Order: sequence, then C-alpha cells, then structure tokens
Amino acid sequence: MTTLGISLNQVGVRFDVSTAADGHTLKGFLASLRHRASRQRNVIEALKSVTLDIHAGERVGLIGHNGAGKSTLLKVMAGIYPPTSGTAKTVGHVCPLFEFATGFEYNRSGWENIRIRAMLLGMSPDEIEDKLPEIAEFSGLGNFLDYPTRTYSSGMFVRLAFAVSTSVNPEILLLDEVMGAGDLAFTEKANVRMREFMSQGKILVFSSHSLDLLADYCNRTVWLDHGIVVDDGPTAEVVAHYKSHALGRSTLPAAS
Amino acid sequence: MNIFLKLGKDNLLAMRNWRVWWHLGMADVRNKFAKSVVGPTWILLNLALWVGGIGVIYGTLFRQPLETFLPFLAIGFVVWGFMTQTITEGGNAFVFAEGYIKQFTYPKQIYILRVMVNASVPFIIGVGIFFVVMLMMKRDFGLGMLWVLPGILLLVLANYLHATIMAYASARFRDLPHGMTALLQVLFFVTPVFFTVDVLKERGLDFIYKYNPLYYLIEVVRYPLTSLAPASADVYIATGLYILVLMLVALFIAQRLDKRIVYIL
Repeated sequence: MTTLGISLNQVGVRFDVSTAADGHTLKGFLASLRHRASRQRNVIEALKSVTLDIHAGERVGLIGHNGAGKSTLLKVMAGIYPPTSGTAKTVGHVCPLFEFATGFEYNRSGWENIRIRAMLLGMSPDEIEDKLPEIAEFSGLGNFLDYPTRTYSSGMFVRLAFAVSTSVNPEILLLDEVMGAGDLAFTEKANVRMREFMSQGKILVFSSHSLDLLADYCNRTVWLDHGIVVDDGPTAEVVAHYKSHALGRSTLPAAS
Repeated sequence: MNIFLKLGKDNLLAMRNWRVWWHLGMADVRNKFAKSVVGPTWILLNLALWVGGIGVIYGTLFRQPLETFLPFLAIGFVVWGFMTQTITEGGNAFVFAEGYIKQFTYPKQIYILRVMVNASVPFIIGVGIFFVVMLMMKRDFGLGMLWVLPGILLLVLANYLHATIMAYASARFRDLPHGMTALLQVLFFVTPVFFTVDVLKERGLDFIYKYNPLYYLIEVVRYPLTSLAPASADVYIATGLYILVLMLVALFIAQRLDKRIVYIL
C-alpha cells in the first residue's frame, strides 16, 4: 500500500499499569526475579483487536465514553503507540494534536515553543521563519507570545498547538478532543481552517464528545467502547445508535 | 519489522534531522544560564577554580611540576565532565521528553542527541581553556596534538552509547540516574583525573586504572594533547573493546525496551 491511508489489522494495545509493589522499581524487579511465579502484572487492555481501514478523503469521527480507547487509537494511528498485537500501518505525513498542555517548554516564550513544535512536526527552520507570522496571526495570542508558556491557560495552549499543527499542511490530521477548549472566536477560525483542510481530500480523524461537531465534520464515525469497535458507519446512523445507548446506558451490544 | 533494523533506521533518521536536536540542545544550554548574571562564563569560572585550587594543592601533595600538572588536570576534568554529564543527563533524556515522545513521531534518539549537544558545549569551551592553560604554562604545541581527533571521536561515540543505555534503562528503572550519580562520585576518586598513573604505579596500585574503562576514554583525548603523540596501542585497543561492549549492551537494552518506552513513561 503506497497511497494515503490508515490500515489497522486486529490491533490490540495492552498497558502495563503495575505499581512499585509488583516489580516496577529496581528493588521490586530484583525481588520479582527470585519469585517469578508471584510476579503480579496489572494490565489494561486499551484496545482489543481493532480492525479499521481509512482511505484518502475520509473524515472519521471517534465517539465513546471516557476511557473507551479513543486517544489510544489515535496514538496508534500516529505511530506513537506501537500496537502490542496486530499490525498498524499509516501512509502519509501525519500531524497529531493531542493532550494540549504537555510537550511545551514552560520557561520559554510562545514564539520559541512555536519553533520547537513546528520542528518536531517536520518543518525546516526556513519554512518556520516564513510561516511564523501567519502562525502567530492565526493563534491570535498577540503579546502573550512574548511570555513564557507557563503563564498560559489551557485555551491558549490549544490555540498555539492548533495553529502550528494545521500550518504544517499535513496529509493526515489527528485531533483528540481539542476543539472544546478554545473560546468562541477561536473555534470559528478553527472551523474555517478545518473546512479548508477537508476540502483537500486528506484524512481527518477526530475524537469528540460533541455530536454536533461530529455531524458537521465527519462523513464516517466509529464508536468505541472498552477498546472494542461497537459500530462503524455513516455519522448520522452511528450517532443515532450511540445516542439511544448512551441515554439508556444499561447494556452494551455484543461486539461484532 | 525487525527490531534491529528499526533501531538502525531510527538512529539514522534522528541524526539526519540534526536541526531538531541541535536546536533543542542549544536551547537547553541557553535555558540553563537564563537569568544568571555571569551566564556561560560559569563554565570557565568552574574550571579555573578547579585547576587553580585543586591543581596547586594536589600538585604540591603529589610533588608534580605545575607546568605539566595543571594542563593535565584541566583536560582530565573537562573530559570527566563530558562523560558524567552525558551519563546523568542521558538518564533523563526520555523522562524529560515525555511530553514530546507522547505527541510527536520523531525517533526517540533525537532526545539522546539533544543531551549530547547540551553536554558538548562545556566540553568545547573546556578544550579551549586547556589551550589557554598550556600557553600560560609556556608548554610546547605540536602536530602530534592532532591525534586528539580520533580520540574525541571515540569519546563522543562512547558517550552517545552511555547516554543511550541510560536513557532506555532509566525510563524503566527510575532509581538508575540517582544510583549513577552516587557511583560516579566514587569513580571520580579512583579514576586518574586529579592524579597521574605514575602516582599509582609507584605505590603498586596499577589495578585501579588498568581495569577502569573510563581511564582509557580520558587517555585517548588527554595523552595526545599533553604529550603531543598518540597514546599507546593498548589504550586504543582497550577503548575499542569497551565501545564494542557498550554497543552490545545498548543494542540489547534498546531492542528490549524500544517499543515499551512510550507506555512506561
């Protein structure tokens, strides 16, 4: 496969959330070597054999309650989490936009953080200097860009991160629940940019709790629950299905 | 994909993106001295105090002529600082970059190279100061000094491997950087940095340096600079063997942990 696309085949992700008592420290590890049998492993299965194919031009929404595996799935698509079982393949220049308050140098200015983020997203220094005014303009942070980012609010982090991530002109944009934190004016701007991006036939995968946003942006939606794909299809259908269950949340449909 | 192939590719890809780690590393250096009045001059002051203070005291104690002892001390301390900084900061390379590792897809080796840049700055300044000390002591310069270049190459390679091992292992075992800091403090006193090997030989304590790989890493840089000639062949052989061992250890640890790093951070 060489064309733009994301292909997940039976992807499973298991987190080891063992604590100090069960062999996570050097001391615990040494102790566990002596009693191999008693070694406790506390494992969470964040994704269970997820199979998905996303092609060029698709705009895919991810829904599901907190902890359903949406963020994990996005990180697998980005190539940040190597699947612990199955295979994941992503072809295209990926631009992820996750957990917006990490990955900043808190003692450095907004400008410096724009440079660092842009570099980590694959821009060359010349490109960055060219685009710096445009990114700054779009972020709307004005004088705040001169201040260290430790003074920023979460909405300001989102503005900065979103401005940088969308300026690299990626082929695949992965967004994790980020639109909510910006204020109204910024959300408007972000909307415009998202539509621009979508009109170019690239891939967007987008997790959100806002069903309106999903209906707006996505032609396809995947519903995750406990790491399993519950439903996958046109947004209107999946959202209707999800709503009927989310409201009367008692039983879950069997995984297909 | 084969894990060894992936590690090779990651290392190459990281090195090719030199602008990223160069920028991050230099920014770290600037950040370290931010709001400091004296700034990077601290590197110079630190070394001057060391060479002046320890040099005069131990030079007298060990009955060493100052014109040979002071340059010896200066370059030894500079190399030692380079080694310890890459080991201790290497241990935090992945831990401190957690926010980046969980958001961006660059190979993790970027953050090890960032530490290398950060640690190279005091090293380069230190080598400059060594030459000043040589001038002040009216010592001879010669072409034999050029033998330092392969020495520095070996030193940098060993430091990169130290940092790689520490970065991976410390992400898993967070006690490691603390342990290494303590160990390095002890090693400093048993490694010929502020005393010469002759002092040890006279007292029949040869084993102290003979089985100490860090001694050889210092010697490949120090000997050409202070004696204007290549170090003896066994020094290069020992260094080469040590680097080979480091490579095997680094490969072993990296292939075990590479996929898991993002999950255990």
